[in-house]
Amino acid sequence: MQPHPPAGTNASVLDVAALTVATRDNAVVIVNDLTLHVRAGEMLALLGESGCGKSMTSLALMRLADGLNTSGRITLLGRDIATLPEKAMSPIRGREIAMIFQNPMSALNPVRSVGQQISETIRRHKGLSRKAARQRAIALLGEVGLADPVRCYDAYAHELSGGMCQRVMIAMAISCDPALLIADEPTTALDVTIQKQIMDLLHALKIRRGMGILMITHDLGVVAAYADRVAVMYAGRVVEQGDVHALFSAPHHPYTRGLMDSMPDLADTSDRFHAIPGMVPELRALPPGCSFAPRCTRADVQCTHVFPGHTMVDRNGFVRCFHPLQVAA
Amino acid sequence: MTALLRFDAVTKSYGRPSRFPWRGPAATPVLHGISLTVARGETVGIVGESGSGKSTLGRMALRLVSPTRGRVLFDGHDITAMSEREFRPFRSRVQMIFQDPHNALDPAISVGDSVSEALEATQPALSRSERGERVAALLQQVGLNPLSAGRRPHAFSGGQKQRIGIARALATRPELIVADESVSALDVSVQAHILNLMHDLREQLGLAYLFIAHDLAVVRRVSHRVAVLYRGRIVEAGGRDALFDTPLHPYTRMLLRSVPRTHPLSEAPAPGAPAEPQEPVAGCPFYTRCAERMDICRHVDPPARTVVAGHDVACHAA
Ligand SMILES: Nc1ncnc2c1ncn2[C@@H]1O[C@H](COP(=O)(O)OP(=O)(O)O)[C@@H](O)[C@H]1O
Ligand SMILES: Nc1ncnc2c1ncn2[C@@H]1O[C@H](COP(=O)(O)OP(=O)(O)O)[C@@H](O)[C@H]1O
Ligand SMILES: [Mg+2]
Ligand SMILES: [Mg+2]
Repeated sequence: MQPHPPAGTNASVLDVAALTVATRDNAVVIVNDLTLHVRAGEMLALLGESGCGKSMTSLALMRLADGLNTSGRITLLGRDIATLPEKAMSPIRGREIAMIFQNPMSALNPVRSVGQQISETIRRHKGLSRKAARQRAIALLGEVGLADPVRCYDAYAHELSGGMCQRVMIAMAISCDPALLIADEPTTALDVTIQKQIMDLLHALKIRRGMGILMITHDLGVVAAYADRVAVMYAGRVVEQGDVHALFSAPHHPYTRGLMDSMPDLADTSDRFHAIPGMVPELRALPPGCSFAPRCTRADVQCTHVFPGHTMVDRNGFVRCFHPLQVAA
Repeated sequence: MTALLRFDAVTKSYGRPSRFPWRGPAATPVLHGISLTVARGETVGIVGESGSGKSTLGRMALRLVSPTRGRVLFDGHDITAMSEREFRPFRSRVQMIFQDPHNALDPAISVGDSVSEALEATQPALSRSERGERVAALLQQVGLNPLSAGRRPHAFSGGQKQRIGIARALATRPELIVADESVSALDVSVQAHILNLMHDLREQLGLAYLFIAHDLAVVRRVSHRVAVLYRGRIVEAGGRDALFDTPLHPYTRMLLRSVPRTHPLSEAPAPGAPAEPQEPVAGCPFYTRCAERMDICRHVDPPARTVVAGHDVACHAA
């Protein structure tokens, strides 16, 4: 009955190879040669600054990148969905991959109770009776930690706080037991105390349900605290990927290092902040060679001509850099 | 020495007038008995969850919001009691920079004109060419190329727009800048540049900041003193190291515990999921979420008291 590999196995839920998304005229490559995988019961963080292509990646994975040129393989539970016709794709959405967003309030229908919206999703995918769907929706609202699920069922989005709305969205997303949950900046709009609750909930669901989670975020703190692995994205490309502990202990890409140094830490009390020189290039005017080269202190002439390929740094990690940082002995 | 800015027992309520008490109680105040000072050249950080009243407090410093009770003093003068004319000389002395630099800039006018506009409002005596020079100098000061003065806001990145917002604010030569979540929407690497700029400007110009933010790590780095706001009250205030190293209020501790550490190998935050806020009780506003609550907390609102010099807390248990 379980539609996806149970927790504890190393099977990939999602395997993405050479995913590229570009405008129709190919003038702008928004996602470039992206390779990643998410295993069952694992959280992979896709970390990057705004505009680097995180949301576009998630849209492409959902097969919602309309009007753009998309290529590459997207293997979901062993099946390539990259070229499935829309008719075959639409039942997969919600059922095998589900998604939550930054602004739960605006993703919910304001004129229907949140419970009704969950019930509808369940009925659409599972064909349950009205009553059975209602019961399941209430159980889900309880599972995501809403204190009074029966009362919550009849509530409207505007009657709930941002954190509660995000819990409702999560309940809806997991209602059909998807193998993969894509969470696009799910806590960016929330207060830190609420952010912690939502991340704790996603962490618990990952373990309890063996669900794979693709966590899209710009927040290194969230990555460090919750992700198992991380892919660091810069200007459309994944430039480094690895286990969170390994990567944060010894980042190989100068950009990863720069990001880590820029992140203010509670324990650090110095006056000035470390800043990466320069700014993120525009996608329509990428420099030749490595996109990070103009900001990189290690760049040489090679870096300004060719984009570096993937170099494995350990069993789980790679870096795309000609002059990666040395691992401290 | 007179504080540059002083909130003196300020309360603000939006709500139905109390001449209709039978229609139910007046709305709970958005700010409640706030007393706080900012000295010249000092950065005072304000932290608290959304809805706690941070922006209302910041806007009060610019007289964009008037208190229901209490006074706001700028350089010793009660700006709440002033007429519009009396206030005019004070207007240029406090400026604000916003969270969303994009919305704060008029998309139809060039950034040079937008800075120039701010100059005109407070220094109408400047000649056209003097104004042009000042605009160039201001853009330079915030790290923008003066040659880009003719471009419209959409041609700039988020970080650059925030620099333009700062240039506009500096145009009037303010002594105090209210920075309301002004780096919250920026990426970390961009945020670092803007915070460094704000730091340099403070040193060069002797600016004071009322620095409103929800990122505790940033607030710790930039502030001399910090006030923690909860439902419109200052529940704890102190020097930044005292407050972050020995937090006294359970809410401050909860906030600090919620901050994810930036390194996976650093100490894991203590467990204890904070509860969602619920309807407040008559006593302490934090009662419903507090892990350390006692019977008295339900009924008696704890007054603020000084625990050690410069470190105040409003909690029965602390
Ligand atoms: N339909 C489109 N055509 C061209 N460019 C686009 C389109 N959609 C998004 N982009 C560009 O792609 C880049 C990546 O966007 P996005 O994936 O939203 O970034 P992120 O989520 O990492 O902030 C941005 O520079 C954006 O302007
Ligand atoms: N003009 C207004 N009318 C009525 N209520 C307001 C107004 N402005 C703010 N509030 C309320 O005051 C409270 C504090 O708001 P605000 O100062 O914006 O908090 P913060 O900046 O900490 O998020 C909120 O509950 C908000 O809804
Ligand atoms: Mg995005
Ligand atoms: Mg605010």
